[in-house]
Amino acid sequence: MSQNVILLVEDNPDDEELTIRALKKNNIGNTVVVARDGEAALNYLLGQGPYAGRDVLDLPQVVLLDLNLPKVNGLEVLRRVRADERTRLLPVVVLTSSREDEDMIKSYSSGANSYVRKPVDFAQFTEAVRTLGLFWLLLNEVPRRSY
Amino acid sequence: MPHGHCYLWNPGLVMLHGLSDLMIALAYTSIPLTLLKFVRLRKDIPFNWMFLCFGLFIVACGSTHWMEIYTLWYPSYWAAGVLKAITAVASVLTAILLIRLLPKALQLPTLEQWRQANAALEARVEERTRELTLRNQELAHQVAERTRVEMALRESEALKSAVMAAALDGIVLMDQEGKIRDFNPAAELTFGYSRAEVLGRPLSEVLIPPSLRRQHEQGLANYGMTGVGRVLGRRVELTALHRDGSEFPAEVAVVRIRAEGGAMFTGYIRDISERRRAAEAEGLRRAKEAAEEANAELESFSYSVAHDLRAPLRAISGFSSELLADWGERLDESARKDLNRIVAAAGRMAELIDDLLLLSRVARSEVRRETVDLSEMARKIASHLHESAPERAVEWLVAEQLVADCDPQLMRALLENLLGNAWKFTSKQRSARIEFGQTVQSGVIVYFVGDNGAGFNMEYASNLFTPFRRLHSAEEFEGTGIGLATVERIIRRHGGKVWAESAENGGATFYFSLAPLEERGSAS
Repeated sequence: MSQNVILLVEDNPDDEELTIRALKKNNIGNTVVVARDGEAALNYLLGQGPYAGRDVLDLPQVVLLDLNLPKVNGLEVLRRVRADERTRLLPVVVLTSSREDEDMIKSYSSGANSYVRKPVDFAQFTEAVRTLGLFWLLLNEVPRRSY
Repeated sequence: MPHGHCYLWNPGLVMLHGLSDLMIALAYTSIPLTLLKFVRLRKDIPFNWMFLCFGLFIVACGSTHWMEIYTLWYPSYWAAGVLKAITAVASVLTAILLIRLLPKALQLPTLEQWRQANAALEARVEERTRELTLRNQELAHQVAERTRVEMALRESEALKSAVMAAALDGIVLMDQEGKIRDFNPAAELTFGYSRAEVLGRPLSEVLIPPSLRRQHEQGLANYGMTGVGRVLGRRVELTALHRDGSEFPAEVAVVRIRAEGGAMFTGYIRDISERRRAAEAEGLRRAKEAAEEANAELESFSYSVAHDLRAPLRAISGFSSELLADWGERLDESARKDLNRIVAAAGRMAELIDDLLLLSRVARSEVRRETVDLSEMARKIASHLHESAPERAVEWLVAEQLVADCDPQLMRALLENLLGNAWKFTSKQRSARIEFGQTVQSGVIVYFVGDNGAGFNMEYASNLFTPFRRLHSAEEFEGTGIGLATVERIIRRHGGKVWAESAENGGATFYFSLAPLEERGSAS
C-alpha cells in the first residue's frame, strides 16, 4: 500500500512546500512522507529508530532526494540505500539546486536514477515535477518486492 | 917483498889473514849493497845520505882488505897505501859528518817514544773513529729524520692534492694581494675556468660579479688593516661569477692560513643554484598548495552560493507565482504587476548567480586543450538560439572547418556568449546577419564573431570586459554584464587576446586569438 508513498528528503521547508504544491498541481495524489535530514531518510527506508518495525520491503514508489542535507548528506544516503540488499533497486531522483557537474557525476555514480535541478521559476519547477511524476509514478515498473 | 914474508909464509898464518881479509872484503861489499837497497826502498828514512856515506866508507874499507889479500903475494904497497889513504879520507869525512849529524840524529825519537807516539796516535785515531762513528750515527739519524719529515711533507702534500682534487666543493686559494694561488677541479667545474687560466689573476676580477667587486676589495683592504674579515670562518651566501658571464648563488666559507709572506685565504665555494631552485620550487609548491586550498574554499563557497542562494529565490519566485495563480483574480492590476516583477527579478537573480558561477568556474577550472571543431560548435549554438525564438530570421555565416586547440567546455561557454550577444543585439534588426570566421593578423590566427546589430560606442570599449559593466540599459537589451567578462577570462586562460570593434548602430565584431600550445607557458 505504501507503493503509493513518495519519500521527499528535503530540509528546506519552503522547498518542501513548493514540491508538495507542484505535486498537487499535477494531480499526483500519492502520500508524501517527508524526511528533513539524511538520517531520518535512512531510518524510514531501513526501518530503524522511530521507524523500527516498519516493513522495509514496502518500498516508496520514488524518493526525491536533496543533496545538501543535515547529519547525513544526500550522496551518503544514496550509497547506503544502494548498499542495502532490500533497497538497492529503489528509484531515487536527486532533486537539488546544484548544477555542478561534479554533483551530477557523483550522484549518477552513486546510483541515482535521475538528476533534476530545481528551477527557480515555479512554472518550470511544476513542469519538472510533472515530468518526474509521469515517468516514475505512472510509467516506471518496479518489482513489487525487490531483493 | 910480499906480505907473506912477514908471516914467514907460514901457511896457517897466511891462510888466516887471507881468509879473514876475504871474508871482511866480502862483507864490506855486501853491506853497502844492502844499505843501498835499504836507502832506495826506504826513501822516508831521514839522513839517508848518511847511509850512502857509510856505504862509501865501507866500500873503501873493503877495498883495503882486497888489497891486503893482494899484497900477501904481490908487494904493491904504494897502491895499497893510496887505497888506504882514500879510505882514510872517506872515513874521516864520514866521521866528521856523523859527529855533525849526531845532535840531529839524537833528536830522532827513540823506539819507546815511537811506541808511545804510536799508542797516542792510535788512541787519537780510535777516539776520532768513535767521534766519527757517533757523528755518522747522528748524520744517519738526521738523514732519517729529514727523510721522515720529507715523507710526511710529501704525504701531506699528496693528501692536500688529493683533497683539492677530490673535493666536491670548489677550493680557491688566494693570497693577501687578492691573487688566485690555487684552483681545484671542482672550482674549475663551478666557475668554468681552468686552473692555468686563473692562477695569479686577481680573484675579484675573475670570480666576483662587477657589482660586488668593490665590496670584496674593501673587505680585503679592511682585513689588511684590522685583521677582521667579514666572511672569515663563516658560511655566507654570495653571488659568484661564471666564466660565461652568468651569476649564480654560492655558499662560501673562507679560512685564513698564516703562511710565509703574509696570510693566505682558502675559500670553499659551493654552487647552490640547485638548492635555491629547490627552495624556490618548494616555495612554489607551497604557494600552489595555498592556491589550491583557496581554490577549494572558493569552490565550496561557490557551491554554497549555487545551492543556498537559489533556494530562497525559489521560494520568492514560487510563492509569488502561487499568489498570482491562487489570488490573481482577486488582486488588482498593479498588485499582479508587482508580483510579476518579483518573479522576474528572482529569475534575473538566478541567472546572475549562474553567470557568476560560470565566471568563477572559468577562473578555477583547468584548461584541457583538445582539437575542437568550432564551426560545428557555432552551428549547434545557432540552432539552439533559433529554437528559443523561431520567429526570428537571422542570416548565419559560419565559416567551414574552423578548428582550434582549446578547452571544449570553455570554448562552448565563450561561443555561447559571443553568438548569444550577437543574437541579442541584432534582435531589433530587420535583416539580422551574424558571422563567425577566421582571419590572420601578424601571423596569428584570429577568430571573429561579427553582427550588424546595435553595436556600441568605442569610447566605452575599455569597460566591455569588466564584470557588471554594461553598455546598454536593461530596458534596451537584458543581460547580467558578466558574459563578456567570462569571455575575456576564457581567452586569458588560453593565453590569447580578445578585443572588439564597433560603431553605434553599425554592428560589432569581437576578435579573439588562442595562443598556440608552445607559447602557453609564457602567457598570462
